[in-house]
Amino acid sequence: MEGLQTTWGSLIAVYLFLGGLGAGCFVATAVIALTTGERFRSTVRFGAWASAITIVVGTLMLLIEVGKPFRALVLFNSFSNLQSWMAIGAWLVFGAILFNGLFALFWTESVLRWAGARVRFLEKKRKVFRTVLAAPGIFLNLGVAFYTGVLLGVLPFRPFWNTWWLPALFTVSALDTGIGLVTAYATLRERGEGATRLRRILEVSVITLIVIEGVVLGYYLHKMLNGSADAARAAQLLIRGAVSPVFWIIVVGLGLAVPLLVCLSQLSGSLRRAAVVLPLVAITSCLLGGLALRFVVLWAGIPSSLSSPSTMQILAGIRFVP
Amino acid sequence: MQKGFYLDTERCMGCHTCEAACKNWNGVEPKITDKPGAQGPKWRRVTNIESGAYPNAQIISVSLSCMHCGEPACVAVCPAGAISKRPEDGIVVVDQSKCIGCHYCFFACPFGVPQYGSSGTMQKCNYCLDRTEKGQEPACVNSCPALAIRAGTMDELAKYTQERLARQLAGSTQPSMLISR
Repeated sequence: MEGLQTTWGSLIAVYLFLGGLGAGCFVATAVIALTTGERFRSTVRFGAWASAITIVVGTLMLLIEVGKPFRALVLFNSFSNLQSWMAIGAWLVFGAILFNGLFALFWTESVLRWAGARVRFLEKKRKVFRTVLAAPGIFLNLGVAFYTGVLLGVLPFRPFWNTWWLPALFTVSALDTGIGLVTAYATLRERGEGATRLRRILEVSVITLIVIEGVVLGYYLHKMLNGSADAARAAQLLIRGAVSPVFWIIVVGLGLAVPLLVCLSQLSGSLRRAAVVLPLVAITSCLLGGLALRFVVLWAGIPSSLSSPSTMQILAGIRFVP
Repeated sequence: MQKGFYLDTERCMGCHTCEAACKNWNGVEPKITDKPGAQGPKWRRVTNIESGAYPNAQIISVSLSCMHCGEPACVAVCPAGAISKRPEDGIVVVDQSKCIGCHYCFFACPFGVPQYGSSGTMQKCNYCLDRTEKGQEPACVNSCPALAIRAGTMDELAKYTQERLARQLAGSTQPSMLISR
């Protein structure tokens, strides 16, 4: 791993990935819930729980990575500097855990019955609660997805991260992995009236997002290759350097190409017979690609070499001469 | 009154005495893993920089610590508000009881200054406040056999711009560091 950024390692990559996945999953789920009501409650319940659990697990990864996890849990102390994106993000994630968790509970019949037996209006007004959680929750979760990129994007001395294209890329990736997960579940479980239409809409969304992700990724790398020498050096790591096998095979191949082809074939109806296997292949491949994307971006976050003339040149040496 | 450091690269001979004195005075742990060559956190680092080719090869040694920047990037990004810049002398200090060890400051600092020991929290040069507040020099300055490192207010250090053609390091964070070549 020489020459790569490794201070933030696997746990942070998993955190950024799961944060995005959970956020994307909530957005898809909340939109389905808001537009179709009870019709696809199985999918909504799955999406709601998946969005809550992934963000909780992701946050646990972050807590394991930091030096003082228990101190970090005291949010109002440890995330009090709201000029820091790390702090803004922590509050967004906290809000998302709360909203996504409550949303999941309000879509779980057994919980609703239990709560309704004690406080009747909780069950009676379930529609209102679900709407009140879903609508603002969409914006909150979009914030979480965006933040996973901004966290890295605002660091000026890490040239490969320091662009708004990174949050854009992570947001699109969050949405396509999240919506992909909901699509896979809906394809396998939803039958009957409207199910085909729902599946088609979801598949078209996934295809659109994958195409957008490909374009954003391409433009991002193009910008980096034509940017500063440091940015170009980092981008080369992905294209033909140390991490290129992961980038081309997992991020591009499994993350973009495979799900795109599967969704297209599903949509055209040409491969309907493999209806159980294909969605599982597509979503596994899509999730692996999303996870690998966070890994390669973190690895490429090498520091700038402060290459201005004169005395800064001395410091440039310091960073790289062992 | 902003305080800072001056380094004379013609005097520095790369003996690492400042590094050792810094670790010793501040009780910085010698190593945090048993890996061969592991050295633990360093609040001051000496690096040898080679340039040119024979017969015009050159090697210079540079000793650097936290630059106590005028606009410290670490302070801005710390989520816990654990890093602050003292108004009276501009020294950037870390509150160990607030730091959560998230490493965000490490990524924000252009000089890779923040260090992490086995406690998990960030540590770095504090300008030997326990010495300087009593009128003593920081341990690195005090120990340097060649008088290559000097500490003082930036106004006091400004004389080296004339005497030794020193220049203040450029950078968006405004490092409080003069260096000669």
